Amino acid sequence: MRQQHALPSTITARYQSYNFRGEVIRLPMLRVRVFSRDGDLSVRTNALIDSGATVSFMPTELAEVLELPRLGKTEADGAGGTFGTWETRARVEVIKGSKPCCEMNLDMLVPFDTGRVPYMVLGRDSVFQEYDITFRETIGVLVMRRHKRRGRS
Amino acid sequence: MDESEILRAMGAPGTEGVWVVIVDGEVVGKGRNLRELLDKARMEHPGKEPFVATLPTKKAMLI
Repeated sequence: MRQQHALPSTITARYQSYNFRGEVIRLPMLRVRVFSRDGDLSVRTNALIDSGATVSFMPTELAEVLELPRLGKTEADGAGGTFGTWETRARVEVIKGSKPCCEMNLDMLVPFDTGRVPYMVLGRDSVFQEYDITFRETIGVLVMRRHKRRGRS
Repeated sequence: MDESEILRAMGAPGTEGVWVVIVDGEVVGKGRNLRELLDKARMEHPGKEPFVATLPTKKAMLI
C-alpha cells in the first residue's frame, strides 16, 4: 500500500446488509472510490475488509471498465482452487460519510475470469498495514484504529 | 434512500451476481454487463459519479 495523504486515526463503518432470498447477509465493507488509469473516471463501490486474504483483489469487470494497467501475471489460491490473475495498481480513496478520508495507491490482483471476485477485497496487504481492525460482529460495525508506531509524529 | 439502503432492499431471486449502478439515489440499471450500465449512467446523468456493486450470489461465501 502506498499511502498518499494523512490517514484518519479512526474509521468506523456499518456492515453492508444484503437481502438474499429472504435472509439478511451482513458483510464488513468500506465505501471506496476507485479511479481509472488516467484518473478521468471514478466510481464508488463497496470493498470487503478481509482478514483472511493476504492480498487485495479487484473484480475483473471493474478493472476493465476503469482500464487499469496489466502489470504482470500471477496466480492466486482461493476456495475454488488456483486461478489466474493479472497484477494492477489502482488509486483508491476510502470514503467516510460522503467525503474521502484517505487515499492509497493499492497493488491488487484481478482474476482472469469474471465473477471470480464479486467485489473489491481489501486484504492484509492494504488497510491492515495501517490500521488495527476490529470486527464487531454482534452489532455489525467495523472499527479501524490507526497503529501507534514508535517514532510516528 | 441511500446506496446502502437500496442494496439492502434488493436481492430478489434472479438478481444474484448482477451489477447494480446507482446515481443520486436512483437505480440506473441492473445487469451482467457493467460497461453498458456505466455508459447508460453517463448518458442519463452526465458528470455524476456512479456507485456500482454486485448482489451476493450465495449465502455462504469464501473467496
